Amino acid sequence: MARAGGLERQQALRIAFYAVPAAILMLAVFAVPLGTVVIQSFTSEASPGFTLASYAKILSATLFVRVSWKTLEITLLATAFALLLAYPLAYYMAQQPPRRRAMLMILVLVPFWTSVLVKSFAFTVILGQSGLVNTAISWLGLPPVKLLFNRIGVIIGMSHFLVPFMVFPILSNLLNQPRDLVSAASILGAGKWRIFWRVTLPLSMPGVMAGVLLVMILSLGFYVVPALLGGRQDMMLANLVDFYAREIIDWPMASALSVILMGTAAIAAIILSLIPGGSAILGGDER
Amino acid sequence: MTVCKDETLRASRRRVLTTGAAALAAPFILIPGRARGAGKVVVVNFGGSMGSAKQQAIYTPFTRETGIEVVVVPGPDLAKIRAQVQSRDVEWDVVDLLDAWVPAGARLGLLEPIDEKIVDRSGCIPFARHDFAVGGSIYAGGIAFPTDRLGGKVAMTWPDFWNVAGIPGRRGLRNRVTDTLEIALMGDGVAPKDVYPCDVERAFKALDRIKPAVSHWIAQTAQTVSLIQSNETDFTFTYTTRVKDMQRAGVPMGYSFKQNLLGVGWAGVLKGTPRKEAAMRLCAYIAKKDRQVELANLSVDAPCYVDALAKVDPEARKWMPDVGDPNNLFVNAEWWDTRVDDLTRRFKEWLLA
Repeated sequence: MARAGGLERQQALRIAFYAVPAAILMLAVFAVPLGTVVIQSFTSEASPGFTLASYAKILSATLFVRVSWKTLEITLLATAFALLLAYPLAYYMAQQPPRRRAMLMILVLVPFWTSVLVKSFAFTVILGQSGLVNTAISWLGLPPVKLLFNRIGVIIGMSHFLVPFMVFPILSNLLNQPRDLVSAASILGAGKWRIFWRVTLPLSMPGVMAGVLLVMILSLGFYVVPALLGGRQDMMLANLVDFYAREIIDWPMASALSVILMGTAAIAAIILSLIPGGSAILGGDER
Repeated sequence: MTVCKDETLRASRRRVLTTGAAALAAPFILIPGRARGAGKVVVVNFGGSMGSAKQQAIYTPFTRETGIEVVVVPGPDLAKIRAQVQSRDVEWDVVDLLDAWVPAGARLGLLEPIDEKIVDRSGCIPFARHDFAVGGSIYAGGIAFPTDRLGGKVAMTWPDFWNVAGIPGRRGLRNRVTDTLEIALMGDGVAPKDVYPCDVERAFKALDRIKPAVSHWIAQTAQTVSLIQSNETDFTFTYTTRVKDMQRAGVPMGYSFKQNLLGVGWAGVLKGTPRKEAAMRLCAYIAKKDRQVELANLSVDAPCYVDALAKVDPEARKWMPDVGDPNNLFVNAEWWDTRVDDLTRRFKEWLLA
């Protein structure tokens, strides 16, 4: 027994060995700078040594409170839109034969592979006052719609980026649902809609939850889209970090804000790892 | 590196590999070393047409005259300046500075004092003189508008800009408090000579009134003209140089000289640079009257010497504001120095409300 344990430990060590180069890289270029940020968040320009001054200043700042609410609003809206777009898409893809599904997957992935900066600039061309959409609208004799530099622009830009992240967990859930259940329900006389509402949809909830959480975590850190497509009211926490770091040049404040943002995302990630199907997204076991 | 013959013959595969690696790595080690020498100076500017004008009027002749190579890097940034100076790893030497950065940079100890023994600034207007920065040009900012729409009803002054009922159209202002606060006061009817010290409360009240008419709070300078061009907005606060570039490109755009904000295109030397001597020599060159005339011809920003203005080409002079016009405002960076952080925060909060 003791010998078997030793063997197991040896095996574990041998496997861990393969992770060493990546671990060293992550330590050097990620963990160390991140640690510096955390340490810096507990310092202050005014006095040396450990202090919570930056956190106290942030939590009492009107700017932080307002930006946090905006971030929450935008995150929830973008997540809702991504879900509305992604669920039918995932459902449709799940019904297709594998070859066709692979084709559709590529179509979903193409925007996913494109830089968000490039996409945001492309949106300014499409959504502007003299953009493609408004030109088409004016041909129909309708007044132009303001789609850019406001909340609508941010939501369009963000949902577009987020849809693939919502599609994957939902699709994976739908594909793993036992087909027998649908057959059984249909034999018992349920119609297509009834099967969907009573069987498929409830069973897909873990996938939906996983997608929602994943998309929310991603939304929290958005920076480019609100900066390029948003209006004056569309400032998110990441933009506020930039504001403190570059405009006010108060690095302890920027660091404290980053730590708060990171903490929020971490909590969401922990919740994600606890729901069924969620840990798979984070790289854990399939079940 | 010299290797004697036998050794070369006996060179093992490992040796070839290590020498190969060293040869590959050499440029990466050598370049920073060379950059620290006296024969080079690293300049940071905002690019655009002003950047190329500076290359032609200042950097190229400077290298020809002194043999000192000028390396141009884009994107001056006060946060990066601070990071370099505080980490004692200074890579930038001469950096173009915004008005508000000059007192802040001096206060935070980020800039070297200008060496008056090297830099001759006699005759320079006092407004463009600072102990820690040299004035390279005077820029003018004012209202730009499209000439192909609006039916000729155009805001020419800041009170016009605030008169939304009388002069309809979408407005564009910057998303920063500096300049915007002064503009708001002038829009509210304050005479330029009475703008400083700024009545902050009055300015924010005036901003409250204009807020519904402002379609864009613009982040990037390039957008101040591109948004008019793409019909996203009608009147913006921008600079003569930007409108001139647009007109040259055939864009139907006008600019009002009736009420302008005047500021200085500064350059400063980073504290602790190993190339201070060369940097100061470049500053001396930037301060040179004939270089400023040349720069003015190319960029249409005015020189910092009163008697140099007459030497500027008439074609470029058309773009230069009347510095004696009481309707124009000289931006006061010193007033902003201690106030800019708090007012920037307040302005951002106001924008989000």
